[in-house]
Amino acid sequence: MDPRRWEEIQAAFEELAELEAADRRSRLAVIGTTDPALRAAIESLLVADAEADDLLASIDAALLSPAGTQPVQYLKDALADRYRIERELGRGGMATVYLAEDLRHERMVAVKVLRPELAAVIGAERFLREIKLTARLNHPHILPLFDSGEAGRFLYYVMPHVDGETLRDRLNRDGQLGLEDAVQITRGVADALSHAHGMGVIHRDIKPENIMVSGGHVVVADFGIARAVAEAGGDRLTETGLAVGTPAYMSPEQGAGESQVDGRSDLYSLGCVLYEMLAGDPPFAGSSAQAILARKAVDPVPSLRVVRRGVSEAVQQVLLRALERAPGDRFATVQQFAQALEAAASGTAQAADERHHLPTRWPVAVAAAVVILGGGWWGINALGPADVRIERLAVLPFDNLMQDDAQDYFVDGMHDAVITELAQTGALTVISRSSVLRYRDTNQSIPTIAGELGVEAVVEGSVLRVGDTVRIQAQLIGVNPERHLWAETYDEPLRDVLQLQSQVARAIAAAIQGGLAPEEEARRGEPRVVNPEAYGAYLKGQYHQSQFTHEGLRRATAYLEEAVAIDSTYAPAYAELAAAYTLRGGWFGDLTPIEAFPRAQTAAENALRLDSSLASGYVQLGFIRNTFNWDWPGAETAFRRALALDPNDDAAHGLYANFLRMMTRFDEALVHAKKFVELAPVTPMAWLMLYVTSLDANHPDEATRALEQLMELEPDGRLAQTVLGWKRVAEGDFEGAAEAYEAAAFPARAAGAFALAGMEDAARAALQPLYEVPTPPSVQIAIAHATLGDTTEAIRWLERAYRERNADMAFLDYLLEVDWSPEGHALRDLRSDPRVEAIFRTMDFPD
Amino acid sequence: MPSLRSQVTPLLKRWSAGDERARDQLVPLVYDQLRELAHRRLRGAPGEHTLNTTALVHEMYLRLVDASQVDLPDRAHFLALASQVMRNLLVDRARARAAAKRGGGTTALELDERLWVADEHLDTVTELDEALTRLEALNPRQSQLIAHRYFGGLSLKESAAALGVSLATVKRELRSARAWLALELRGEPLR
Repeated sequence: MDPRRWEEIQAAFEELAELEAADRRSRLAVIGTTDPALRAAIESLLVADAEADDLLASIDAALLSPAGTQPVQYLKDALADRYRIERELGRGGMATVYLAEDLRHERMVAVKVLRPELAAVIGAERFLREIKLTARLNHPHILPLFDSGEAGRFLYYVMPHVDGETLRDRLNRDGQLGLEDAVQITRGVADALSHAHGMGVIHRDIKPENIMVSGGHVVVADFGIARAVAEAGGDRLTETGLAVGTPAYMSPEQGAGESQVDGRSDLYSLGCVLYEMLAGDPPFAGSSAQAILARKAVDPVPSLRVVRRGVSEAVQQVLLRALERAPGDRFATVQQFAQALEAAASGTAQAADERHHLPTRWPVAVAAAVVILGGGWWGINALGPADVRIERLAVLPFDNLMQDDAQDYFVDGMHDAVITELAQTGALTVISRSSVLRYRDTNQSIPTIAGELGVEAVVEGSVLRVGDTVRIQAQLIGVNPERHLWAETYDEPLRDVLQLQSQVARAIAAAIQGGLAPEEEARRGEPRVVNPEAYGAYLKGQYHQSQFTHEGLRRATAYLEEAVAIDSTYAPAYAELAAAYTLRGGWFGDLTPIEAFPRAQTAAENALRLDSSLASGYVQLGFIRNTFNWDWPGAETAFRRALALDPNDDAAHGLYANFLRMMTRFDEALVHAKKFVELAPVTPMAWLMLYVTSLDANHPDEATRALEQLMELEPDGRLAQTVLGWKRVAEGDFEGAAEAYEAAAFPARAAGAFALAGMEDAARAALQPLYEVPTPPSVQIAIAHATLGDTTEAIRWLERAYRERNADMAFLDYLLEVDWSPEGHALRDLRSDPRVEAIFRTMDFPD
Repeated sequence: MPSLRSQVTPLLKRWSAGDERARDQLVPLVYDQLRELAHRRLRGAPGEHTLNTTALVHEMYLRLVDASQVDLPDRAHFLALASQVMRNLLVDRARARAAAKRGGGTTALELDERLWVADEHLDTVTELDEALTRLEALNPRQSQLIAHRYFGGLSLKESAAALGVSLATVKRELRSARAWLALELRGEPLR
């Protein structure tokens, strides 16, 4: 092929790639009549284009991704002589399922590949021997095992591909099932279980994902897999912190870690499935495996008839007996259960069974076991089955449909408001705004974005404003598998925009988890009406603030001042104004602290007077009390209040972590720094905080990971340079640190590092220009002088920092205490000077 | 000795402005720095068996270039250059290692030089290199685009700036190039 031919092929390929399938076919036919070779080339390219991700996976693995991924290409190669892998069908707690063609038998099959972390700890031979036991099972309601084996690093097994849906799909679609369907499905599963139990095989992982419903026919999949994994894993499995089963459906005895369970354990799981078919949710839910199992151990089964009034008392009684905590209190066999259920459902049941009300001693025992096992015991389940509840969510930047970039501020404002509203529901972890903004105008797919952010669902939306009307279109998309969960369009007058944001957020929350908690509803009360002009100024202020530049902050201040001048009852605008002033008096330093912080404080107090439930107001108040008033207990109260109001406020976690560092409470600081990163995973500042806090708390490994993340996100930014400086300080490379600090535009820190390196001239050269600036970094200058041995100068600068209420003063105690960095240690020698002692006394750091 | 950064940054700006001699002076600096960083990485992290090429290139950029002095096109040019150097370094090591494994090679590599590419990836890296050479004959820009991605971790914007074309062009050409490459790697190249 020559370049000109390639150009021709490429042009045609690009044109066709954009077409719908039908148009594509007709274009190809036309091309084929004149140039069949061109047609063939385009067809090859189109196929390769669709599969490029898979085909290039080996390169990605070699050059881009660290170890630990499961490159599908390897699997394809390893199985190439028996199966042709077509695509991934889904991921469960234990295995990833691929649709494949069985080349020998010319049929479609499901190839299930055990998760690598699981395969790594279990014995392959034992697993394959155990799994063969299940091959003996032969029953119309049991999905047979075709094949199993080891290929490369993979353990796999093969089952027929059932062209139907799982009960999980059905429940996702329909929510609840009719009684008749539910009973029929339960009967099918019970038959399968009964046969298997008769052969001595316990399923151990009965759940909607493993029940296939195909044209009214019920088939149970994955028989014996859980058992084979458990047996082959043995003690190693437990030691490594992996467990088998799914908490929401697991029997209490299984949850307690009993290795020998019998058919009544499967019966309990089937009871949970039946409950879910009728109620829409399994009987016990919780945010963690421990929470679910603890509830199973302690809480009574929530009454089915409350959520599903149509269900008769008789059916409820049958269900309750299946869900008894003690195996001995349940039906003896699944057959008895199925029969009792059918009788109850058809109205021929005898009155409620006599025995299932007895309190037992079981709960205490289980609770104890759960507590003892604690920690990371739920390794596998933490990976999650295909349809876990949505606990982490990202709201992607909304599209501006107005074709006018000048309206971006309005769209961004709506976006931010929906995030804030959602975050305040508390039950969800919502990724912070700063971390989702990078996905504006992205070409990345939803699953990729969700993977990067570690979320189970994303919200996409668009905003259109015409005159005084706003239209928001929003949709909620679940990943893994990718599916639309909810979509809605709203049209509202602009003056009701607050209500509109709240409405959107509530609808999303409801779609995810059945609405807000009642106390949350109560706290919100009626959304207020906003003055459109004030709202416009507020949004513009917020927009400029998010630019995070000197100029942006100056403009933001002006707009926010305007917003509160128009509407003096506008609490969020006051809180935002407080943030603008604290940034200018702190990080940006274009105002002195004495100019900036009192204004910030007034604004924060106004915000809270108008709305005492405004988390952002408390965050600002905490920060002001911390860095300006040196009111340690007051700061802590404010931060804690903010976190109680909005546990998802990333700034609250970040600033509280910083406060705790100043208090030298490093372990607590680390908890909040981690939460900060969790909420703002692509915000460089969050990783910076985690880095330094990890060093403080003496977790160097954690720090290294944080550093890598930061470098990946923003390799050439000011923050990265700052962290590099710290890293070199910790390694004792003071000259290198000075270089990094200079690159980060922290000349005073650089001077201190030069002084530590014994490079006096360089240190003094770096200090020289700082003497002239209006808002000098006085604490850092004092440190540099102290390190150089200029005691008098050091004390003079420290006194100046004290007078000016320099924001770094709050770190004074920390600088003397912290182990990993000697930068502030020179101040120790000044500690006994009466002037310095007076400063410490006034600041009154806690012991 | 003047710091590397104060040496490299002006060179980069000169090269960006069209002075090809500056490029020739940059190459050995980039080469040495990449080797040194890789060496440090692999020494410092016994658990780490392969290099994350992207992270390495970016760390080198931080060390060699004063980020506050350069703009996107400068950075893009530098990263593009680094991706070429990285490609040479990686491919040389993958070849040497593969030869040594077959028993034919006499190249004695330092332990950590051998670790640049994990054994399981040796063939992939050399195959990619050969495919890129073939693509270069068809369309040099597309070949560079792929190399940017895999050896330098350039963003699409950076690639566009380095090649002096629009973002849309980069996206379009990358798509065809990836499809072409996929066919090559599957052993069904376009004729």
